[in-house]
Amino acid sequence: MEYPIQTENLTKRFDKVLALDGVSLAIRPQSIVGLLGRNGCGKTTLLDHVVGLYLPTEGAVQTLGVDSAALGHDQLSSIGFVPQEIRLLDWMAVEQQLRYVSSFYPQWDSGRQARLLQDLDLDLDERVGALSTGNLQKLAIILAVCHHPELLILDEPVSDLDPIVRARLLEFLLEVLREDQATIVVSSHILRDVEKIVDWVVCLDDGRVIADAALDDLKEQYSEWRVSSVGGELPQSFSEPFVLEQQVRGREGLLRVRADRANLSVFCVTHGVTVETHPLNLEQIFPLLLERTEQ
Amino acid sequence: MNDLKAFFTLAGRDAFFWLGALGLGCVSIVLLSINQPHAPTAAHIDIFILAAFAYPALAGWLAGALIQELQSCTFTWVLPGVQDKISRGFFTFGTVATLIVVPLVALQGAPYNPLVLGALGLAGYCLGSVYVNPGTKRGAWIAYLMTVGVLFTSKGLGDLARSHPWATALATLAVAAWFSYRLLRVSTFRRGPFRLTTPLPGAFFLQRSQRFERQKQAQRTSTLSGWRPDYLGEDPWKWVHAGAYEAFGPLGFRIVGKAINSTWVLWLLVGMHAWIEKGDDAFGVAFGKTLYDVLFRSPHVPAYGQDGPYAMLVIVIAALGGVLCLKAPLAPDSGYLYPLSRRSLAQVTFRGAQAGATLLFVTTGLVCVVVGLVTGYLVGYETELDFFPFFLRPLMATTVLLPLLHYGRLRLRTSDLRKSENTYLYLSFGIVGFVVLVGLYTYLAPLVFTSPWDEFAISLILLVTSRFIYRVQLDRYFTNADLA
Amino acid sequence: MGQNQMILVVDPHSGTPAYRQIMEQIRFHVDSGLLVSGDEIPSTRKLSAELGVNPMTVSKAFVLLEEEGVLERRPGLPLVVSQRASREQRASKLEQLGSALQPVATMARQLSLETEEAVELFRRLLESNEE
Repeated sequence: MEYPIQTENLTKRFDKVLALDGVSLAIRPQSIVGLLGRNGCGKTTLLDHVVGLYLPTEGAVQTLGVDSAALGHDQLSSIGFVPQEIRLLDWMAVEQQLRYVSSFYPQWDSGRQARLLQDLDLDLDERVGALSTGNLQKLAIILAVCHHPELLILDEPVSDLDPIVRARLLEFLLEVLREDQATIVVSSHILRDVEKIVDWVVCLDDGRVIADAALDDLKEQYSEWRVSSVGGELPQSFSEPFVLEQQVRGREGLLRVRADRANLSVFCVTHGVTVETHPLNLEQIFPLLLERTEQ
Repeated sequence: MNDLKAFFTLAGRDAFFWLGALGLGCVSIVLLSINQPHAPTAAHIDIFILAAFAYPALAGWLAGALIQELQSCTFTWVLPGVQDKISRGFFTFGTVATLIVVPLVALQGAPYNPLVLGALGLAGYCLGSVYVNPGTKRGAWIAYLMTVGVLFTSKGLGDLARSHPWATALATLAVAAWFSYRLLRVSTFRRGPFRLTTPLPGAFFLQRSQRFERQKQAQRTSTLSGWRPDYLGEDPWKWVHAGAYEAFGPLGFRIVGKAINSTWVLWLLVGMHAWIEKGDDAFGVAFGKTLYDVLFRSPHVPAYGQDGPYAMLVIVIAALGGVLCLKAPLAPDSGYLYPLSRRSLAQVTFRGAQAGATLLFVTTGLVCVVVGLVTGYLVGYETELDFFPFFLRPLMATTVLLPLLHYGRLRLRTSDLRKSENTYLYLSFGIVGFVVLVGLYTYLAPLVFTSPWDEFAISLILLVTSRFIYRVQLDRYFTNADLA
Repeated sequence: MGQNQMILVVDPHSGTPAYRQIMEQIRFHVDSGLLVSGDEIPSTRKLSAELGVNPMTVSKAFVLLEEEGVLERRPGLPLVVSQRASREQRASKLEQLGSALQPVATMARQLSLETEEAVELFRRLLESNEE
């Protein structure tokens, strides 16, 4: 299977700062990947490598089958990119800006452009330099999707948008996936948004990959255990390696774990407890992902 | 045709045409003025070569600015084929510019093969395209040096063009190719910021923001050491200090060095004048005499040569004042949330402006006096200061008129004009207007005033009046205006 | 054999994976008779658009339900509820109720209620709803 994005031991150093440390990923085609991580963990740096903006200090990056430093006309025509810091030609009106960028793509879909302008509520005559940050984000997104890209990369694309527009945009991304058979990589802080649409999660921390799994798998691996002892007090703390967070008082305990059924049964027997398991959503799983690296 | 649109669409706006017109005007004025038969420069200049170079260089400067602007946009990075399309437009524009200029120059009677002129024109175009971002990068400096070289050796170039037309043409085309390659290569359009030099170092927004980030980091570490808690307080002068810190920060006194660096044009012209007029004197002596003459224009000493760069001194002093006002006003920027009442803001802004103007007056005055006296001593002049030194006039005019700029800047910052694309154009016109006013004062004053004391007295009155008016306007502004 | 309209609800923020929620709800619809054998299931594309979820989620649910035997694939036609599903309703129903009752049983034990008391309570609740 050819991966639209493939990195092998990608390492990037800026002077003395190690921004990315041995990142090896293979993004599956036709999926929506959520790129998560705290501020400064290297998400933007990684995405910038994918489009060929940065060159790796060590390792390799391949985008659409080609080394990212050598992306040619064919690859670029199939890539859509929405960066975190957006700068457009401030003097142009929105319409002029759209027309300018569309002239570079023969497959530009003006129908999609018109529909998005309406859905996202963007005024054609406003000057780009006078747009609010939210509107600028909307425009940047429109510029990146109207040529039906095969690979769509969005770096914090919805941070300044209100909830209504955000919902519309996320729906639209799903549509892009369905219609264009595209691969979408979204990096966002807003986990609730990410959770709605992604099927794969990649989590970075300090430039290293700490999670690279399907969202469903994560939800099945991580859970909350409400522990109550059958008889007697519970130990001060549980030392099993799969227990990531715990709160134990007397005969009750609240644990957050990365475990399966086997772990559960053994646990119940070993400690003589009953356990009620509850699922965790992405917002609750995220800090647990980070915690694993600290252990 | 469609491909050319990629470049020419970028040019379709007001600012481009205004800048072009302004540029054409300036270049033509300069060329005409140095082409006067009695001008000392005439013997060393080949006006045809200069014209064939300068006009396309102007076009190149504009084209380079357009490209730089595009390169600094984030959507450019993934545009397919952007390099090819922009290159085509770039070269078309250059060719058209050259094709317009060369016949015009040839028609004026240039004794050169038009192809050589054409090659020179193209080279000028490509050179001009890398002026836009003067930085510390190698390519930009080479372009500047080459331009200066052409200015100084136009006669020599002309001779070369007559004797070896083809070789000259090929050499200039090679230069043109080198510069345009650096401007337009793929890696310049989609480049990581840690690659080698690009002729337009600030072109990449990312590169700039990286550098900016590093500068900010550097500033952060040093500011903590320079800041003291007693910097805060209610006294308005403390806020002026805060404003100064905002503007200059840890630069401290290095700002003086920067200011002096920025007057390089003056040094260049003094040097050129000295070179041309030196006659039997050593260059150093000629330089010193020219400098003394420009600064003081003493009645005890004859003018050194004809048409010294007096005007440039006026322009430099006025520009210093203008840039100081615009870039580093000594008052807190309203962008930061300072807990100041409107009345306090008015007070602080006023005092900051006065402090800035006083600083400018004293520093520039001192520097000019010291430099002038030392130079005079070194070249053996009598140095009695019983006259009104030349530099003092533009300096006083600048100090008197500076509140005008301050007020204009204040109003511009909060008006709708700020959102218009032409803000910088208005600012430029503002500075140009300011310089013109200062120039007018400088040249009219000696005609009106018979004694230096009269001049002093009237200047003082004007100074006080201008400040009074400024204060009144400031108060009215801060009482009524929207400050956001 | 028409196509019953069914309304599914997916909460993306619950810890339960979306595909599992879809599976549970379809199973419930089948067991409660809202879906009968031969009823067509909306296509992956349509359902994912309606629910606002990733189509992979929907197709995963469908594949697993197919493996379980609840749904049946016909060549070139949309998925349908299988014959077997309706026959095995009873076992499946008990299974569903069983997993819903599990936490209730735990609670009863924790509250130290007598088994007979709890069962009596359950019977009363069941019977009161039939009126």
